[in-house]
Amino acid sequence: MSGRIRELWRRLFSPWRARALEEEFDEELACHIEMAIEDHVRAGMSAEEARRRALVRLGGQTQARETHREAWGYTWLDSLCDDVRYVLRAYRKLPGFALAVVAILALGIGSVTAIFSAIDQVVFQKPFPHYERLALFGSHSATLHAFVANSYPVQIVPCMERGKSFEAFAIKHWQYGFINAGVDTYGVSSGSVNREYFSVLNGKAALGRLFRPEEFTAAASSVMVLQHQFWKDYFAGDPGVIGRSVVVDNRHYRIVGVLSHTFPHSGLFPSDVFMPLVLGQDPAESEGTCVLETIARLRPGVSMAQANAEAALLGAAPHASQRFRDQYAQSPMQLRSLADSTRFPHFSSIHGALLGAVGFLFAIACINAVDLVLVRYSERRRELGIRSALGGSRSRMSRLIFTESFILNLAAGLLGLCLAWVMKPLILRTLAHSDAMLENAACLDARTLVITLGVSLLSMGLVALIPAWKLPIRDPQIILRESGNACSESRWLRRTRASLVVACAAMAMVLLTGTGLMTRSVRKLLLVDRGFDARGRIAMFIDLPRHLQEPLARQIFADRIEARLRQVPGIRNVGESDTIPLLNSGQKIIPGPEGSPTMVSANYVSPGFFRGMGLKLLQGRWLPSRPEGSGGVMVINESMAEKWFGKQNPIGRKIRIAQRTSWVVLGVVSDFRVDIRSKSVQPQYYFPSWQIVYPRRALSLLLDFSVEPSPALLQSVRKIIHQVEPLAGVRTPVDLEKEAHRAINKERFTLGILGALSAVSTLLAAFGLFSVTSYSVSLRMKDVGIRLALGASARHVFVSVLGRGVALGICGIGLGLSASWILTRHIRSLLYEISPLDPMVYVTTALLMLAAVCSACWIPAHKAARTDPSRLLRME
Amino acid sequence: MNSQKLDLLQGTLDLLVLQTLNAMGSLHGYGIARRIEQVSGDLILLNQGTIYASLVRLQQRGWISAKWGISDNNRKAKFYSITPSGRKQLAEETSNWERVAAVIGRVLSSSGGTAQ
Repeated sequence: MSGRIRELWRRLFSPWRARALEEEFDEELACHIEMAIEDHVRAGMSAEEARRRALVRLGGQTQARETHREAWGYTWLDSLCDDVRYVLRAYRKLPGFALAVVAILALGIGSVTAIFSAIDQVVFQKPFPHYERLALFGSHSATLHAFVANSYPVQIVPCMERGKSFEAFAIKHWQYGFINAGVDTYGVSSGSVNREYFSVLNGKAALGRLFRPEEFTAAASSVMVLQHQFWKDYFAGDPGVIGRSVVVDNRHYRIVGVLSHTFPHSGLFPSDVFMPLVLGQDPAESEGTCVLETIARLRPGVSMAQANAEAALLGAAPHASQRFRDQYAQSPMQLRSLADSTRFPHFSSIHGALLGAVGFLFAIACINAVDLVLVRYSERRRELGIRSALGGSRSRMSRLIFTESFILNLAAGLLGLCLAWVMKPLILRTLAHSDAMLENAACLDARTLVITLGVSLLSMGLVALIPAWKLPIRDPQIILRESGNACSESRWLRRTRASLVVACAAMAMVLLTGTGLMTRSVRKLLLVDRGFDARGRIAMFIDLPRHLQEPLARQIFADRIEARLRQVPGIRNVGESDTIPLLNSGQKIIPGPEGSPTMVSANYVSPGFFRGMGLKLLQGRWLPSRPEGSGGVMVINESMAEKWFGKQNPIGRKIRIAQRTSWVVLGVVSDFRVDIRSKSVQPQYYFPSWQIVYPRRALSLLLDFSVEPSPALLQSVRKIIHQVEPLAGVRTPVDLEKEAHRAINKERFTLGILGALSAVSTLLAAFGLFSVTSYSVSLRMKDVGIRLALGASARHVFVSVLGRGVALGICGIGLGLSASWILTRHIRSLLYEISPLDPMVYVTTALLMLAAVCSACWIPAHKAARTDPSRLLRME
Repeated sequence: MNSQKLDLLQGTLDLLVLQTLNAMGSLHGYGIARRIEQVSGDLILLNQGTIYASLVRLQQRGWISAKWGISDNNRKAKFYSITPSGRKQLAEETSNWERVAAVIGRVLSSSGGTAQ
């Protein structure tokens, strides 16, 4: 066996080994001639005569070499080339067939490639090299019951100097400040970062450059790099910002670069602007007031546990103040793997559903292609019979079929790759959880190519196997005896095609059902009553300059702005709150009804907020706009009233919100839901903004528009705010309706892809049915003509043709419904408040499929019924 | 040259080579040619160059294998030997040949030699 394989190998590469072979043969030939000479000499000839005789008997050296080379030849390759030429010549005559098959296969291969490689990229590929070795420094917070990623220079510097587990550090000193580039004041989170920061986190400049090593000194550090989104918001994406001077908290900086849109990566805390970090300048560093966000890259081979132990030891900070060390004793420094602390998407039911769906589409495409190829071979069975009668072996003809499949799939694979190139970014946008994922979206990497290759090979096998297996060359006599009229469709072909069509229809049916379920689920999600209407609601965040951050100044400013904005035509209501629903939430732990700590949502609001949100007052009264007595007051939501007081009247009761603070409940307002998928609503209380005692850096406004909030209208709002306070930093307004939609984007996009896949599948299945029906009609044209001539009504013919096709379709639908019944339970987690067995969906999609089936059979049936018998019979 | 020389039917050379290798075991090209000539009582005078084309064909089908070795008179030569599948093929071809020969013989010996 191994000898044969070696042989095959040899033959495959014979063109390249030709020289070696010829040299070898020359040697063999020389040996032959010498042996012959020896024999002749022994027989008594002279040496010269012996040589002459030997060459004569050989028939000449050159001739011997020629025949040898011919024999070695490239017989194998030659016949392959013959096949390729033959197939291509045939396609030139039948371009429609080749185009149809290639297009169908390319659709299948392209979709599979796009979805496979998108999922591969999202689930299995890390955003950048060494990502898995990155660790976040922090400690466990007793008050928040969670890991907090804060670290301090007194801890980090020893780790940098003496740590053996760490290769590189990305350190950011996070601060909040105000930026002014001459027009607007904006609140920014600024990050002073160390030299290795961008190299560790794979930050790249989209414009200009990142920091130079010499800029990490106190004298040269007045340079700034902008984060991409901030650059777009504040500088309107102006490429001319490089070299401009800006002021952040009274210090001048020169902008040197803009980061690419892929930075920051998922899970890393974003900053708007970056400056070089110069450690060791500030005495406060040892006091633990300078908070750092530190990420270290571990040395290869160092485990997280090892690094953790070292970090805890070095982070004990013996040089820090006593206060800091007391605090540290409670919560020593910990490391957390970055890959763990950022939410990486795992393989989920969405991916499963998409893979399943595209698998079906691929199968349908392959089956359609097989069907077309089968018909073609059936039409060529006379020719095949002749070839086989002339000595063409079955394996020789199978090779032809494989060659044909190879050519078709090669073309389809290339076309599919182009398709995947177009589709992959669209799919990635659905699955990706961050922009970083989109970085490589447009380029097709080696993995994608491997996937395409694998998929094409698979489809090549599928398209070749059935025809090769079912090829009607068993007995050439039968085929040749079939006389000239090829009108009878052979039984094996009819049966094979019918079962293929049924399988296609069944798979398309499964896809349709899945899509139907998703459609209903998404519609339900869209119709969920959140308790408030996001339409026309705009959130606006204003960064306050320092003189407006104190409670009283802030209150006066907020009142003035609210009053001014309320006069703007088109604005129905204006309210202020520290958190805006859908965008953020103010979580607080307070003593619960039984005294145990309970997580609630706590917000300060201005009275306008309730009206702005459209919340309903259920009991008691709204919050007053001015203090009325000495005690604190609050309004609670339904859930909180229910949880704290049950059925009792909560009005006038007191709720403890801290150890020694209790506030009086003035009223109960309706609930609203942020997470529409959760059944319960978090307890929430609101208190008047005049009740706050701490300075606040920002003001968030909720604007309720009665008209479409156009950009011009929003611009005028911005202008009014600046008239009240020129230094106020107005951020880009956020449309809550868009945010509400974003919350169900995952479902909507999945639905979009599923919908497209199932539409294409249904079309392909219908096409298959159409081609089967019209082929059998074209073969039975004569029968139909005779029947019509004998008095059958056109209607009768129409019904009989339609009936046959529709019967096949119904078989497929039935099979598909049963398969859906089994398969759709796997997408249960994607469905919202709808059973995977929803009868409504099953009936609707079955009817839809039936409609597709009927229209596919309609045209051939119509054609059959309109046959002119006299013309047909005359043709004979 | 020799007017008694027999022309070989197409495909029969391969059969002869196979049979020779089957009978003689491992043999080089010249040896095979000589052996065929000897066995035929020098009635078949081969164009010895064609032996090599035949050897290549048989090798490609996996019926014989080749190996470099040392000949009796201490010369480096390429030795061919029959493989199991070659033996099977030989048996098949031989019986086939016998059938064909018998049929042709019958046809030729029938009276008149004209078709019915």
